Amino acid sequence: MHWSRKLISRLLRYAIVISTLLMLWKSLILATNCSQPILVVLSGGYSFHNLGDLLFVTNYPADSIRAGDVVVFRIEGRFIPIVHRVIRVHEREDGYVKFLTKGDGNSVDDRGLYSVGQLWLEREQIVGKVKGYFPYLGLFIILLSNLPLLDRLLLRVVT
Amino acid sequence: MSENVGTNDASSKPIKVNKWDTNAVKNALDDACKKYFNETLNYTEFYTLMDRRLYLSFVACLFSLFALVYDWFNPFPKSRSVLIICAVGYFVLMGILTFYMQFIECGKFYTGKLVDKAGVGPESRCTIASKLKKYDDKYCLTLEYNEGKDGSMTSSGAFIRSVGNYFDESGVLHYNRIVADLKTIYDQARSNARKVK
Repeated sequence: MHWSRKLISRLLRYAIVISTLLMLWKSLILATNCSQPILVVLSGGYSFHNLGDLLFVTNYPADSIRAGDVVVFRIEGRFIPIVHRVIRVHEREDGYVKFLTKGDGNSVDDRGLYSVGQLWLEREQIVGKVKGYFPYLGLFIILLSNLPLLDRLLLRVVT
Repeated sequence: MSENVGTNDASSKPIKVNKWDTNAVKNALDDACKKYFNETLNYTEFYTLMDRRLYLSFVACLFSLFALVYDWFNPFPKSRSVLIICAVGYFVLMGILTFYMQFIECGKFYTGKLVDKAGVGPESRCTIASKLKKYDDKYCLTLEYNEGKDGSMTSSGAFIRSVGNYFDESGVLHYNRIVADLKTIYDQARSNARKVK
């Protein structure tokens, strides 16, 4: 057998394994309707989530976000999302909603974290609602994130 | 788990494998069969079966690569329809690939053709398939022999032997032994095919 055929065969075998994992991940994104269905808590101490917790997030449009729900949101210009609790919901008759969040361990709301001039969170900025979590499973990912290039690829969130 | 491949001559460095690694053992035996057919019997190997599997895998990988790249440039909500198409396409192709490997390829690792050098005799085709279950020692080899322009004369032969017959305690393959068994069923199949007319 020509060496090129052997090489291609081997490369494709590895590519199939990687592709399958990738496609399973994309399917999870489609199933949860959330761009980041699994996240790792990067900093602890400000909420009931500890460092290294693995969060399971969904983002169904029919699932309304109410005060008391823990949500993951992303501020414009910041790469890492934040997971805090919604403390106030502002709804208009035409269906437009906006939210105010606050970390459980913080004494003030998150207005200091939002962009300059922003007082409320828009629905588009919310990545999803936290449906459950698995403690400490994400510690390995945090260890990996200390490596230079993997930083941007790994899914982390701050509380 | 070391596998020393690369002997082009049976009489030079013998092949040594990790005798407990079923995969390595099966591959070594399959390679020995291929070598016998290619070098001793002068068959020409045909890669159609393998190539079709490689094409299927390649197309599947293209789907996933496209999904990856598209999603990178158009983050999630925008790429939803593309992701759905790629995911469905990928898993359908995986299903086809599994079906292909299970039912169409089913263990065949060699397809070869022998053309009579004088151009007078009929060309003969041979397909070999093997099976070795994980953690089992029974190596099942099936040989299918076709002769004649339209493959009219067909016969097949098979044997099931323990791999212990071909490897010694240190994992060295005894090429002569596997070739002897292979030669027996090949000659048998050939003579059977010529008897049936």
